[in-house]
Amino acid sequence: MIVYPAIDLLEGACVRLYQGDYGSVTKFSDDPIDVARRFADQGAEALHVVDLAGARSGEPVHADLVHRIVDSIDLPVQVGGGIRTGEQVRAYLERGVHRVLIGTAAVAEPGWLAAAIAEFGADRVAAAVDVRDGEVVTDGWLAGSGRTIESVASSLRDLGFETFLYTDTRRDGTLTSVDSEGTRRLVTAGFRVIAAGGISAPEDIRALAEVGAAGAVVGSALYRGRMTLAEALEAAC
Amino acid sequence: MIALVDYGAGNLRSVEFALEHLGVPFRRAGDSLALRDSEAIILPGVGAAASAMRELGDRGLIDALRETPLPLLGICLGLQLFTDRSDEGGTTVDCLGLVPGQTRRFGAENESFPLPLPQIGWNETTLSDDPIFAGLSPREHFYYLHSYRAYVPAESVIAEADYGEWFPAAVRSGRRVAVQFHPEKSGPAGLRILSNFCRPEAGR
Repeated sequence: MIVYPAIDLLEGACVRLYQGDYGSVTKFSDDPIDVARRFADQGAEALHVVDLAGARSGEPVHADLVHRIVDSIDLPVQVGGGIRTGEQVRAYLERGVHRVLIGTAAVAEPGWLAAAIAEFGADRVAAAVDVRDGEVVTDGWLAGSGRTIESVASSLRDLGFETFLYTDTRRDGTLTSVDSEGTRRLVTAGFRVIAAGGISAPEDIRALAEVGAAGAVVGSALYRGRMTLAEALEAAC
Repeated sequence: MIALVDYGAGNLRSVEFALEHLGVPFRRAGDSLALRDSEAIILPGVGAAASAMRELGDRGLIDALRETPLPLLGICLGLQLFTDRSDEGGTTVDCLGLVPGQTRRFGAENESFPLPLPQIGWNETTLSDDPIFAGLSPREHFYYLHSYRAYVPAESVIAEADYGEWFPAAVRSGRRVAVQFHPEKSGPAGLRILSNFCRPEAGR
């Protein structure tokens, strides 16, 4: 299983939100490139970068910063936040981003995605599905979609999606505990699942490995010193 | 056909990539029948000792691994599972008992253990002339990621490395061999070990 240290970008800085709340921001560094390099030096195998400003506004805001992060380290980087068109997907992937994470757009208007998946492959275009209390939420977690994870997963499979970023927004940034049940349901349905939200201890990573997750996104636990990246990597090994 | 023991976790891919790179036919094996139907078995490390033994037990694989006459290669936690028991996670769990000894945390016999845990990264490893190391130098670098280590009799140890204290980097008991490092993440030297195990005839 691959551990993805998370770098969330807002106003050029590396921040964490609490439960995705833009009013509850903690800034950890003004230099996200330095943060990325430090994760790389600590043995990271890949990085997870989210353009929070882009997720809120509906189009990439920090694309230049994302590309500078990608160029400054020799690791695969997956990127999400405000990606809603085929042109945006292409711009990221052709400049070295390993995988794009498609959230809101995939739920609201999924038609263009089949072409992107056909062109770049189902490993490089993943569906970022944010779930709150069993319901898929959209628009940077600001609005509900009224659809269950099973319903959305079925639609996304028809489009060609095989890879999911599954985020439990109730737990994200909260350092509570991980939801391995939702991950297990998606793994059982045949998806490659990268889990995020509430991963706060090596036991959470082991729990996700045991239900067959392909990856785990770890953010607050690293920034707040609950767990070292080395401990996270060991738990996934 | 190599059997890659699949006990329900999602991290076999790096080993699979390495075997694909080598052109070695393999398949995931999650029950004892699939193990018996193979030429050799790779036991990758997944999770912690207690959960790994529980998952192996749920699949009827503990006795199969203890009794198999086939060549067996343990990796990382796989080496630790070779021992009689492990203290990982604060409780003692019975393991496969393929080599006498036990698994304990680094520094379990040295309270002033000086180095951070887990050990993560490359470490120089001193190799014996065991056939699993055919074609390698007496000292090679491999990638390690672990906090626990085996305490086993010297006659089982076929390679060792130093991380604050000397520890077994590889053990052998008959046709069963295990490595504490990750050969699948250790570049050409690691791939050579996988190749030596999967295709011993090619190394002669």
